[in-house]
Amino acid sequence: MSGPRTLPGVLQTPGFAHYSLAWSPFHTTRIALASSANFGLVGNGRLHLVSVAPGPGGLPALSLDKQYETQDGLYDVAWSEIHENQLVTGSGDGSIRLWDVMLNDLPIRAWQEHTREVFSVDWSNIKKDTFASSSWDGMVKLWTPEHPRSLSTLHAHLSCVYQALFSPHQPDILATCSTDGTVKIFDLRAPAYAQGPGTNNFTHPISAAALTVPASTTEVLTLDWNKYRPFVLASAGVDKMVKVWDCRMIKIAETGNVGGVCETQLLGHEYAVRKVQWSPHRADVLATASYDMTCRVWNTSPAAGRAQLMYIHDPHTEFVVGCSWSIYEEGVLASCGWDSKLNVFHV
Amino acid sequence: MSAIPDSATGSSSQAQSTPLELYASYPFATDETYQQGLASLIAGGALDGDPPPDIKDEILRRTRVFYFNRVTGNSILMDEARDYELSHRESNDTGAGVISQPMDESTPDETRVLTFAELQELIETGKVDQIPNNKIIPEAINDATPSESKTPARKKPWEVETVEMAE
Repeated sequence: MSGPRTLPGVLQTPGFAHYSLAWSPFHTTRIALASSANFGLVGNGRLHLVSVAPGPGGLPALSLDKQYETQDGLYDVAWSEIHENQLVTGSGDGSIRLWDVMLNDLPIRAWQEHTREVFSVDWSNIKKDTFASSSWDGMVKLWTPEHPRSLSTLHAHLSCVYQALFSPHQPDILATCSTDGTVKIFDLRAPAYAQGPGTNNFTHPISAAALTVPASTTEVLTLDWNKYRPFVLASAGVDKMVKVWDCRMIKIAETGNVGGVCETQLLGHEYAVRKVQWSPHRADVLATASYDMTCRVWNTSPAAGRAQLMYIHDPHTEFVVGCSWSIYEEGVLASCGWDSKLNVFHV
Repeated sequence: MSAIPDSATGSSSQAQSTPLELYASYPFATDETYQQGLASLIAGGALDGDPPPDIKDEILRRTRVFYFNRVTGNSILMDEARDYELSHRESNDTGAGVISQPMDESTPDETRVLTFAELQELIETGKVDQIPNNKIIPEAINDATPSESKTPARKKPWEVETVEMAE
């Protein structure tokens, strides 16, 4: 619809549908790709390590450097923030694995605590030895690579937690989103249990959030923190809408508050939105990936008369489930999906 | 990366095979690394514009010869490979030479993506052994020593901006 079109660099992984991708925080051109065989229903997972190099005509040339096989499908991957060769994956069987890219075949650690699919992993950029996992079992767990058990467990929701992400600005602040239609912000230093309808501390304990945002009437599949505006988040999910939330009214010392001001709604995706990610370089630029087979880029606060939608990337032929901005190369975006294609392109 | 199959390295039973015979029997259809490379070439537009069959054969042959020479250390030529394939295509009636050699029925084709319906049928009829990419992976932990970190953490773009704004 608008913006220049450029051909993507493409890497295909036959037989393995993608679930997530992550750019290395150390090596500008290195990507990790989490994937599952047979639509993630049955069969193995595979972690791919991919390099991006300038190709003919400025087209990004992608090459597969290495791959690791896992028993069950892989749903998410996060690079370590303290070790350039290490990364963590979350799996359909509830397991979490730590990999060292200098070694072959097997992980260097594995943890099995979640009882259902681990759908997200996120490495803290502030407390650089800590990462978080979120699961369909409703839990969020905190980990360090060295510790054989999780450091702590948050009973974040009573249903699937699709994503949990650390605040990029404050340690100990983490946001989650869930089947229950909410986005929650937790203060990890205040592990209190909530009281109220639907909860009790015996059969349904639930951790108290500092702020609960009633983000949708249906499942919220994804969220992200704005990198330049503290306590501004984007969320999206089954209702096809992308929403930007101003949560600066949050009172960190309190729990149980409900709030969030919806600043903007981005309309256009035709099916559920599976991933949102703010630009690492600009406060008002957001990328989204959807089951409608497109990846889109939006300006969340366009100048008067300008459209919110900046760019549509539509070469995918199946669900697009992941998108991520290059951390150090401004305007380079990667997308991946169930067509087993990783695309890297300039926006 | 996948190991080189026995048929390519010339195990004892094939010690007398010529490079061309090894090439002709090389399991391109089941070699994941080859299939991945081929898939990314096709995704990159290698067969765009639907070239006529002979041109397409020639492009595919070039990928096979290149890959075969690289993984086996042989150096067969395009012309040799073409002559060999064409003469054998006539003599043994397999139809299309190495590209579509018959698959072992019991081994699922790891590179083919099943449709949802096909997958559902295999699950419901208990034929899970025919589901591709559904094998037992060792649960073991790597006992090699993990690498040492040598690279300091880099500042994220927004952290750099914050520092500049503070100054």
